[in-house]
This record gives sequence, C-alpha cells and structure tokens, in this order.
Amino acid sequence: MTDQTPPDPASSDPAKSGVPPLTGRTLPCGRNNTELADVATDPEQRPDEHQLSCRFCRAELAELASAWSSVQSVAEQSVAVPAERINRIVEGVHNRIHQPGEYRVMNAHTAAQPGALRISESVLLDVARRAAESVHGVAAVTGTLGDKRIDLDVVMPYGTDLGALAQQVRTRTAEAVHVLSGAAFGEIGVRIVDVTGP
Amino acid sequence: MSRSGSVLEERLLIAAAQAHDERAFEELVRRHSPQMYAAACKMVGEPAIAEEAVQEAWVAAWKGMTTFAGRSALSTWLHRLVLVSAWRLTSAVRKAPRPTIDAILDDTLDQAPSAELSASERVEHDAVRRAVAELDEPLRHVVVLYHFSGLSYDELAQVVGESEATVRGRLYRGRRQLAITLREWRCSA
Repeated sequence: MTDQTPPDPASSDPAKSGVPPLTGRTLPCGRNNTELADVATDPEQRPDEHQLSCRFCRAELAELASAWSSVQSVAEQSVAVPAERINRIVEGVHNRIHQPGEYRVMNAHTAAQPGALRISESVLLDVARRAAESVHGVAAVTGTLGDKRIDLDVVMPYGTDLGALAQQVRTRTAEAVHVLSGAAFGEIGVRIVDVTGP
Repeated sequence: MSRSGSVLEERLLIAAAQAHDERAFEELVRRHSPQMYAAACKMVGEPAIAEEAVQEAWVAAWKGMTTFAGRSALSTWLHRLVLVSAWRLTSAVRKAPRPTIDAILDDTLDQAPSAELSASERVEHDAVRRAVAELDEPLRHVVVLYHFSGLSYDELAQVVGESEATVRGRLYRGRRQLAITLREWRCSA
C-alpha cells in the first residue's frame, strides 16, 4: 500500500505548457547570460575558462550572483503564522469534518474500535433531559445543545432549595451525557422557567 | 519530549485518526498547520487562499487518512495535499487580479526583519517576490518548496509526484529564470 494522493497538477513540463523558453541576453563576448545564470545559482557548477577570464562574463556573473543572493535572503525570511489564523484553520477543519447534528461517541468501549459510532444531537438532548428529570421534583425539561455546553429549561417544585436542586441537575446531566458519549460538556446551564405548587 | 518519543506519539495520533478519532486528528491539525500554512503562503502569496488551501488539505487528509500507509513522513504527505489544494484554488482565481506585493508583505512576513530593512533592500525583496510569483507554476512550486520551505530533493519528488531528476531539472530552470529576471529588472531600473 502506498500513500495515495491526488494526481499532481504540476506534472506538466513547462516547456510543453506554452511558456516560452528563456532566451537571456547575449554579451559582447558572444556568450549568453543564461549560461552564467546557471553558474551563479547552482553551487555544483563552476565557471569555465572563458567565463573566468572574460571581463564581460565576470561582470555579468557578479550581477547574477548578486541577484541570486537576494532570492536566498528572502527565502531565509520566515513567514509569520498568526495564532488566530491557526485557530481559525483548526476550527474550520473541525466544522468541515464534523457532521452537523451528530456527536461522535468516544468512550472506553469505542476508543479501541475501528470505525465510528455516532449519536444524534436529539438523542444526546433526550438523555440530558431524562437525567435532569431523574432529580426528584424536577419536571418538564427542554434544552439546547451548544458547543461544549447544554442549556436546560426546567420546572422545579415550590418550597425546595432551588440552587441545590439545580446543582443536582447539572451533575446528573453531565455524568449521563459523558457516560453515553464520552463528550465533556464543560457547562450545563439551568434556567428555572416555572415552579409547581404544593 | 525526545525525538523518538515525539515520533511515537505522532504514530499513535495517526493510528487514532485513521480509526476516525476526531480529537487525535485535531491534534495533528494543530501540530502541522503552521508549517503547512507557511508553505502555502509562499506558494500562493495570498494568506486567505493559503488558509483555505490548508483547510482543504486537511479535509482531504481526513477523508483519505486510511490510505496513508506511512511510507513517507506525514508532513510530506500533507505538503502534497496542500500543493494540490493551493493549485486548485489558484487555478480557480487565476483570472482575478494578483494580490499586491504590499498585501503579501503585510500579512505573510515577519514585521521585525522588514522593519530592519533599508528602503533599497525592501525594493529588492519586493522584486524577488514578484519574480517568484511570475514563475510558471511547476517551477514556482519546486523553487518555493526547495529554497523557501527547505524540502530535500527526495521530499520534493514525493510532494510533486515526479522523479528526482525531473524536480532537479525544474529547480535548475526556476533558478535560472529567477536570476535572469531579477538581473534584467535591475538593468532597466
């Protein structure tokens, strides 16, 4: 098996792609400066006897070497890679590969298995709702799923410690969705939309 | 972490990503994107297109993760994917006006070295970038990947999917064209 990649778009030879060949310039001595460009840019090439002794060639070689050193100087400069751009790339890739409305199940049972087990957003919300309703007295839960957070609207019994009850809802909901999906929802928002009388 | 530890960790991440572990894949995205973005910037000269090319390359990597057999380094494989995406995107916008050198400079190069350049050096550097941008695409890719991104001949051959002799030939022509173009511009300045 080889590392498969799409076909190389750059495989066409430039000579066959309509690009005119580089003609260069003929020096007073009769030599073309493209020969000297090769000497100036390729460390493996050495000037021949004529190029070493001819003043036109030597002057042209110095100019081409200077031009090439500018290229090397720019090549050595680093490209700024702003952190926000990388964050945007990471987020963009995540959004593109992540199926909307689905969460990948990642827990001890699925981690070692090939393939993917996905759970729909609605099922995850249903689990969160049931977990919240398992807290005594809490009823009629609806919710929304955001990025790493779940928001629940709940009805709670009148005359109880609403803060303590809300904390129980948060804890049970977080545990239930984590056990089911392996997803860690850092924030469980609880909004009390009504209270039921005694 | 030692180099061998780092290599082992990367292999584990690759294996996990091949098993569709999104978190492992995202860790690879975070690790390799800076180099991919820098290479893409130098290839296309336009940060926004470079960013899009990197994202496209990663989506292709995610879809083709199981085809990555580890014969080449992951970074080499990713460079190739970026090259393909960059080529596709630049082909799509080829008829659009080229970004100005100033725009490229402002967004892609460290400001510190630029600030230290004299006016004449800045003009010289602008000219180099313009000359690179005007190279025919196959030549530009090998020149940028070899001289600007530091790939070896072997890596370069793998990235562009050609023999080492072919990429050496393209490099040869690319260097020659750059030197001559810059020389002529200096003469006419």
